[in-house]
Amino acid sequence: MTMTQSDSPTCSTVRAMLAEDLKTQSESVERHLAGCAACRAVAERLKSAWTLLGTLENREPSPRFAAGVMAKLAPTETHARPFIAPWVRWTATAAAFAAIVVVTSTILDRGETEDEAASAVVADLDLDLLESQEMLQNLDVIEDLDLLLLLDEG
Amino acid sequence: MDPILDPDVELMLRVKAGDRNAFEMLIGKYQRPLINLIGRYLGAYDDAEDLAQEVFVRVHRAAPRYQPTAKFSTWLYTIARRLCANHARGMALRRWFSLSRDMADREDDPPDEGLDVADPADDPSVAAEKRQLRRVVAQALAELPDTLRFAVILRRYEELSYEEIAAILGCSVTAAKLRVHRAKAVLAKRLAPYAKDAR
Repeated sequence: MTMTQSDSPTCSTVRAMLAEDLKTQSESVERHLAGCAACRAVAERLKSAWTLLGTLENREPSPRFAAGVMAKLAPTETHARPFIAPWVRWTATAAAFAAIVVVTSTILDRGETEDEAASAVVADLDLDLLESQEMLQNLDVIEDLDLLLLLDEG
Repeated sequence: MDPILDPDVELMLRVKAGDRNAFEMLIGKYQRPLINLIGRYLGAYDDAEDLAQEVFVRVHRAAPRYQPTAKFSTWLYTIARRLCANHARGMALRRWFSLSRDMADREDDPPDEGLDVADPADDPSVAAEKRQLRRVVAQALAELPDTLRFAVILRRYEELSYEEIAAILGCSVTAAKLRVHRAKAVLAKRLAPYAKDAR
């Protein structure tokens, strides 16, 4: 986006653009900074904070990191997954849904019907995740439940 | 980047085909950024290597089902994000249930001193100042909300594009930009007293 001399950006626009990219700034931003002490101070603070983050230097992995990964794989190192009958997976999925509906209804407690709560949960959950038994075991659905709570608070 | 053109996707497809050497090459390439991503996110390196190893274990277990729909690094960091979130949630739950009084007492402790990487060339007083500065910066990062913290770490240390950050966080590009911008603003305010130490 190019700006003419007459299209001088406001302080709020400049500060938004400052946060966008600290490596290079447009000519219009530079011109504004030259004449605005407040925005220069903001720019300096943003730049300093970005530089200070660099004090957290990288750490090197321990020499046995890769061996540690391979050791964790060893007991189950196989490309063949155990066979799980489809009806078992769907039963587990249904049980997880039922548990989520109960928990969601209890936590939200908005007088919604169970159907409404279940619909809200289903609408926002990634069903592909629930079909994966590995995801169930790792309870990744809780992450979506937390998001639901945040949306409810908002 | 088209996943098809990503050399790491090619390696992962070889892992899918059972190539152990390809898997070790991926570990070699990503172990350092992964450990540091997790360490910075958690504010401590105690569990960073364990979690990073778990990320690779998940990658290996998912190999038979792997479909290259994005860059390999996007997929890897997405797994890392979920594990970090689960780990942080577990820590919060343990504190909440007071299963360990030590955990609750550590809540106000400064971040892990393992973040310190001392420069042997510094004299003791300079080293101490640098150490304190690193603690302050790590604390400021740790105080960010989870969503902002992960975004700014990916942007600042991995130098990922907003598109990649959005894919990893599961949000829109606009939301990714907002998160990074907000994080920068919060950090700028928090670290303002130390601006003179920025070089």
